[in-house]
Amino acid sequence: MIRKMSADILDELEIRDIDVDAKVSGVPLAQRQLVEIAKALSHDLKVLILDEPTAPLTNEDTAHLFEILKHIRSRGVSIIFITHRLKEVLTYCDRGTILRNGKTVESVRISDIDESSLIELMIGQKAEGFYRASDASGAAGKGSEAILKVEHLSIGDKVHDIGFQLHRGEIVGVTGLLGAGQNEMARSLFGIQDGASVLIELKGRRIRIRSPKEAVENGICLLTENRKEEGLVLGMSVKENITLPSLRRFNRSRLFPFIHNGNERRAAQNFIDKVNIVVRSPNSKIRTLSGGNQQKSIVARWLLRSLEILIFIEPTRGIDVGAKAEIYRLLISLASEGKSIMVVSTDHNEILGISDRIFVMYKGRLSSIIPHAEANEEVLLSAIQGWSTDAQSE
Amino acid sequence: MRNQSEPLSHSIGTTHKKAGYCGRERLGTLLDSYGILVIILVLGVVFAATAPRFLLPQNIANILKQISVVAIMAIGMFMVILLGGIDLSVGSSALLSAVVTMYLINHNYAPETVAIPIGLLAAAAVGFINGFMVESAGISPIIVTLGTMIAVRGLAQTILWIDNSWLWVKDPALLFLAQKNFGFLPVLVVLMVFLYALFMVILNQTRFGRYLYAIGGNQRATYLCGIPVVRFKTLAYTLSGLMAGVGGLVLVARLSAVSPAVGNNIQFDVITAVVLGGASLSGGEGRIEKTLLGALIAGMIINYLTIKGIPGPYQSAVNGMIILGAVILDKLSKARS
Repeated sequence: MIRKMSADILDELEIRDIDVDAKVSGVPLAQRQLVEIAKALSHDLKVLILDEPTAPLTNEDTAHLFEILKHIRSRGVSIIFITHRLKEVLTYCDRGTILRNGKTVESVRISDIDESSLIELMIGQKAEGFYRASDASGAAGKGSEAILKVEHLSIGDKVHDIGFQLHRGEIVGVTGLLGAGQNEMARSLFGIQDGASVLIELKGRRIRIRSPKEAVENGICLLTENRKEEGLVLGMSVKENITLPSLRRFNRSRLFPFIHNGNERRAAQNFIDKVNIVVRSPNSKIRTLSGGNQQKSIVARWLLRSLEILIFIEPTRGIDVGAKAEIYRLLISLASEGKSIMVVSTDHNEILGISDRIFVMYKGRLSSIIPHAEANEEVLLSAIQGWSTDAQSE
Repeated sequence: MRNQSEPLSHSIGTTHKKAGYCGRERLGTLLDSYGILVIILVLGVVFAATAPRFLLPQNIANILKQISVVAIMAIGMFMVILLGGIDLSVGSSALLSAVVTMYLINHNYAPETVAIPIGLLAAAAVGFINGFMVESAGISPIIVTLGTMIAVRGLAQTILWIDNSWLWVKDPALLFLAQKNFGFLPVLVVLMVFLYALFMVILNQTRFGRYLYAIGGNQRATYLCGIPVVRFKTLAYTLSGLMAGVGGLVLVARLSAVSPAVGNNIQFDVITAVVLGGASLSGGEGRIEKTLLGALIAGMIINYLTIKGIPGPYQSAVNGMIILGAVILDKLSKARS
């Protein structure tokens, strides 16, 4: 009976690839989201409120979701759709209300507005300079020394024998279809991917990374897409979250290994200012912060630890457009200070906007490397789909 | 977090009774920060009013003495619970350290200065084994420590059985510790306060303490910070064993003898103290100093019931209800957050 009802609901939503008997914990994130939405729809409803439902979804799943939402709308259900993705608002919504810092900025009819004026309303200033200026890039990355050299990286049947170099002061964007192996690749560089075999050279020295501890000691950090599960200690303060990997530095002395509270607070404050975290005090609980400020706190954490290589997976997922712009500015200024940055993302605009070089992965292989100068949406899309004919590798 | 939940409670409140909801919210906030002191004060006033003997200096010293063993063992338990774990084996570790120490002393195998550290080491070893099995073999703490609780008690009782008698405590240092006073204050109470002061500093001012809170709050994130989580968790279990050993020595010194029943079921009093002290059983939250106050509440209640001439079995019933009440409080405080 329950099986039948569940199957009917999924059927009505044209969700074909979910087994109703499967444990929710066993299905991928995107499908879990659909199950969640299906659950909401199983009630007889008049108003449906969706809070960032598409944040973890791929473009394909998102399009699918909106087909479903249109269907629901035609049945007379009102839908309140909360999102930070402008494209969704512009494409699918009828009316919109823009909020900033807890206040209503304006309510508009979507047909009367375009993207740039929408961004303007959201961040309260002109939207120019959102991404890095195209001419500034390239020069920094190319020709400078290789910091990290990765060879013969294989992970089970997910990643097949890829190799690349990461240079000082460059931003490498890594993209591909969902499940093309880019996340596993990034995780293997941090020692948290099972079954990875790889040869890594750091500044010409052969190293092994079998745990986050070894990665951090070699100057590599990873910020994953799961901020809450894999980044933040929600019960702790902003200060404590920032200083967590660097605590040893604040010992009063070797014989007297107590944390020097003043030094710790000053260091945390220093980096709160540097990455511009909006917070009342370093002692505020990190769970009271917005997603963008939480993400900046984790960046601050690794900057304080003064690591050379920063690897990000989906750095702006679930973050509003204002904070997004700030994160991009931060990444670019870090690169110009000589940090090497790798950004794994499925957001094409993000990848095109900030990368000096773009690595495209297809079915577990590094199928092409696109320099900034040659990158545009078409080239990127065809490479992601595996249509690229002039595939090259290092 | 209060900032976030307050506006929410207003909007929910419109459908329920608004004033009542806010009132409960405010009381909750108050209980969070000062609640335990308020409870102690209220209990103290009620007990003193209905049993005048309760506030006599002699009786207060008595209460402090009575809670000292549980309170000392609760220091270790607090750290394990802070990690989201539990240690059921502390009563058995207490017996083991007492048996080993007194066996060595009474048979003249070793002087007290050697025997006591060896006894403590034995208890710490039990803690280490707990930590190792929980962390490296990935077995749940309740199962591991249930196993060691039974096995270690059996081992300690075997030593007693081979010896064919109880071990009497005649060692002057231990007797001094357990039975003498510094003026008004029992030496035992001074030791308890000293250990709490020491661990307050360790938990609040060192890397180790900070890591325990971080691991209890989000073990995965802490691991991804490059912190050797397994090492620190194992250390916490080891310290729990060590403090159980200290508690065991103090306990047998107070009793003047090591019987096979020493420390039996004491783990439940220890856990009660930690939970009454507001530590969350899911880890990451709690203050060590409140654990001492938790032990004090339990001690006050038992002492009052004794003064009132209420017999042992009733006291057990009340004790059980305290545990349930504590767990419900824990649940309610989590529901708010």
